[in-house]
Amino acid sequence: MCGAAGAVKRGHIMKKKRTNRREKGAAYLFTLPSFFGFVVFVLIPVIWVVIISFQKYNVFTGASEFVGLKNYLSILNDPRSISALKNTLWYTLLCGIGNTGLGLVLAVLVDDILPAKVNVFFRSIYFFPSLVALTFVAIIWQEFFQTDAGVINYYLGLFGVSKVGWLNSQNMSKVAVLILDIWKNVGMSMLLILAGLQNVDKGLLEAAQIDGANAFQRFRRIIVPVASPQIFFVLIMNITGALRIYESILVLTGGGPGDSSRSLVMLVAEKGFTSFDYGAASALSILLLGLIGIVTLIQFAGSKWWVHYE
Amino acid sequence: MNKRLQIFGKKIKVSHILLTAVMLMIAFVMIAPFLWVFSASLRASYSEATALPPKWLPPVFSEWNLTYYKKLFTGELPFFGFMKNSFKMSTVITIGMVVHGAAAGYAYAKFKFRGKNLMFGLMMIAMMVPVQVTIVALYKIMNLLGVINTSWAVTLPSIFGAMCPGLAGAFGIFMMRQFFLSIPKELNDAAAIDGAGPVRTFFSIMLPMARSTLASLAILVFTFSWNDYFTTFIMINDTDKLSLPVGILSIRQPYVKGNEFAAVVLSIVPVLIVFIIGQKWIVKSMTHVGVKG
Amino acid sequence: MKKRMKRILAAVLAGTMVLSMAACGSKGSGEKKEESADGGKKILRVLNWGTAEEAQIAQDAIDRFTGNHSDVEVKQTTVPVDSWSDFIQKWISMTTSGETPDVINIGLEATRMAVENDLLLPLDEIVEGDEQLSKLKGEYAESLLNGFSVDGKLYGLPNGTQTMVMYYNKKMFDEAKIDYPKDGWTWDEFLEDAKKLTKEDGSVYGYGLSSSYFQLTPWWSTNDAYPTTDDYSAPDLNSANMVESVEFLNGLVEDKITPDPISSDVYSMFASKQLAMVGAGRWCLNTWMDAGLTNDDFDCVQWPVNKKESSVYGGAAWCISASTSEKELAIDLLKELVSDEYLKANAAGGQQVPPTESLATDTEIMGTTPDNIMGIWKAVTIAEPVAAPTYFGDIEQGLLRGLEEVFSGEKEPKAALDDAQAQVESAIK
Repeated sequence: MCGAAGAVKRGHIMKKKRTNRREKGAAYLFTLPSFFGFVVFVLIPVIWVVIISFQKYNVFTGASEFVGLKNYLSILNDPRSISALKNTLWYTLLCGIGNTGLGLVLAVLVDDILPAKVNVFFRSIYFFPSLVALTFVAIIWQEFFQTDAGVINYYLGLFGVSKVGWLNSQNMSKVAVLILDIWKNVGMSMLLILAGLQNVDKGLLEAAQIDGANAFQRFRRIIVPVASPQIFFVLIMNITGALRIYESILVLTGGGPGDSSRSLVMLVAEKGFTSFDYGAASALSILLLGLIGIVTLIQFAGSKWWVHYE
Repeated sequence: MNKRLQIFGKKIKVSHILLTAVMLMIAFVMIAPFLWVFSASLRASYSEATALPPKWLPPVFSEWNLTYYKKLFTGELPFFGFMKNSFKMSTVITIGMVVHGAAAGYAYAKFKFRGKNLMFGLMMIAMMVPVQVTIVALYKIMNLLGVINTSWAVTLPSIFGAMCPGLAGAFGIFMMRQFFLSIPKELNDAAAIDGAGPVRTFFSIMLPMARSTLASLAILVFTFSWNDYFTTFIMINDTDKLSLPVGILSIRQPYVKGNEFAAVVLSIVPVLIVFIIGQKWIVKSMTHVGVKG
Repeated sequence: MKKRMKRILAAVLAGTMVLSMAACGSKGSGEKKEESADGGKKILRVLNWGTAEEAQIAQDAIDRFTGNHSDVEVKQTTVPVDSWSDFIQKWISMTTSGETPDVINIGLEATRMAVENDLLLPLDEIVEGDEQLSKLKGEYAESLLNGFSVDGKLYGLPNGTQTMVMYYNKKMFDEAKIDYPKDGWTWDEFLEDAKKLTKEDGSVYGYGLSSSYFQLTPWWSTNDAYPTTDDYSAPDLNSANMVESVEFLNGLVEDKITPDPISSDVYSMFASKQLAMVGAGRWCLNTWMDAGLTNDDFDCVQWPVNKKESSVYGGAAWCISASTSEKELAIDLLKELVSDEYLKANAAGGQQVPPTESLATDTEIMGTTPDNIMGIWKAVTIAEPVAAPTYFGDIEQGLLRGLEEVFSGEKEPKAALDDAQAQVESAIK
């Protein structure tokens, strides 16, 4: 929102009223269709969720009863919500930032250091996992993560690392999810950031190099600022994605062992689809929504300092 | 840093060789699971498939064990029917989302109008709603529209970002807005001076410039919706209308890992084919210079 | 040239935009017309679950039904289920959308939940008033009918059942010079054998523990424990006997007699001769035979006993929706779905154990692998139903979470079960 406000400030100043009116007409023509779809398919369901969060709702019969803040209180008093919240923040930090950071590094690597044909080859390969359905690749990764017969532990063993209980220890289950998530999604981040890198003036980079700027300085001072709108987009996408992380966990660990890898959305799904307690599930999602809203606001606010348009 | 070696008559930097080695290692990690599962799906038994050290390459052709594949294809598997459904739904979603994403993203980036911040803010928040929660309400809405058990029940909400995980809410709009924000305002001013109205400016100047971003958005949307499982599972009842991921799950036999491996390979093959054909175009579209800063 | 391309692109984009908007506006009503244009035919909906093969067997029965009822159209929905919650979710969404299924194939796990929410029609009067059905009812195992009865009323006619026996690899027993186990063997004997059969190098484990709700139940029932109270009203996860069972299982994990119970695929491992013993029902047999196991390789025996002889059974039954508007037709369809022909075909599919003694002890249907195939039916008759209260999802998840915490070394058995008990109690209050 703040970004939009900033854009308005930078927006060009109208010279004629006539143009202004035409522009307004065009603005509504362009935005109203998607806004209408948004209202019908997103906003109304969300309002419904808000209402249900104050009710005891029977999914089988549709009967409901107002219970005030009871659903919220029961969630806030449940130690399981707290542990899911901690896990979610862990994922947000590591999956969100890991995907963006590694995506940026890969994008720079495949941009134009090596000959074009080699770059295209690597881009394709790095991007390919993003195209495949998680439900299926998880079956492979489950085999890779096996403690005794797993591929990963086999190679770690060659380096003298003792067997890691990826899926069956409370400490490592989140790491396993992180690895799967980054493997699956980093190519996407790479490609999106790569589009931004195309705006980097190669002559400027060379000039900087001649002036004695080292690789990191060139990266920090030239590449990141120019590609910042794309990096910002990828960061928002990855962070909100990580706050809602669900599928990667579901297919790999199911949230276990115990609750050790369970995220908030997994808990929402469990309350809704396993316990059929829609009131509690709705209340939890509203709390999650609040959390995501705050994090996003912070990002938009922070973006003023490092995201440069034009 | 700048040492050079003579290889095949070409001068190549040592640092480039090291870099290529690192990139090859990363590349191996990215494709290792696919190599492994293809090799595993052709082995005679689970213990052979999972034996260590891992076998990354399939056995020699004469030793291929195709029983798992045969099994998946017995019982008149509508595999290609699933593919067609998936293709149809993903295409509709892609076109829909790219079109309204480009239009709205442009408006949010370049136009000034009443309610703009409120509308955009609401949509950004919607990007974050987990579909697991809204699904019941959505289902009711789709039912009111009378489209349950048709592909529209999947495509309509997905176009507007209500369902596909990863695509949620204003994804497309946000992505296009980010692009149009990076276009200098002087360009709009110049168009206005030439007498072009905002709509014409959009179609004849802005959209062509946005080619590469449009292409990446289309690719993203297509793959996300191609892989979506949850939406189809909830909205579609008839087997012959299912998408590929749900369809494959309905025909794989549980308790048989070999079958699962074969199913995984079958689910990947169509994506791989599309990717090999479109690969050059997909990746190249990204390298087209969108805007010079 | 370039300019022209731009124009064309713009025109195409504008065109698709208008089209897609028009599509959004009109499609809703268009599809609806198609629905009602089917014309005059009554529609019955069947909600089924399972593999494509099982769906086809049901479809054959449905075709026989529509052969006699040309004015009826039957729509079958088959859900691939990994969990019962998925199935219920599908059922709820169909009901909400006015596509309420009339005839439903329901698992034992979901029965009480469905009855509690008035989703099912009691079948007692219907069965009593019908010759074919009352004859059939007499042939079902008593225990199985109990499983689908709530408060003395019968809600479903079983089409298949499932149980657990202990399979063992004969050659491994021979090699280790251990006698084959016999019905009535004890936990101690089981443990002793399993230890001897486990190879130091990790190539063979004595037993493969599968950490899922149904597969674990024999370990409770043979120790005279049960996850809920007798009337199913409350969980009973931390009773002394439950704790003892979990301690025993945890011992297996700690001594590395079983591979990691959280992520291992024990059925594939048994087929590839990495396990000496594994608990299962009938559902693995086809797979194992496909993998090359023969009567010489393996056999089965009843579950080892600690306090009493027992096992577990689950199963599926055809039920009628309480809100069906075509009750008579639904009954006719139900009869076709529990006909001898259907039951035989379903049993021949090889996944389920047929629900009647005559079929389940028929070697034509059950096959002759392994030698003791008849032990499966015996297990059904001595077994207790899988503990499926109205809050099945909560107790299943709660118990499994607790066990994972034990097996991952995070908590002691007693503490983990106390926590699980408290969590389930608070979830259902």
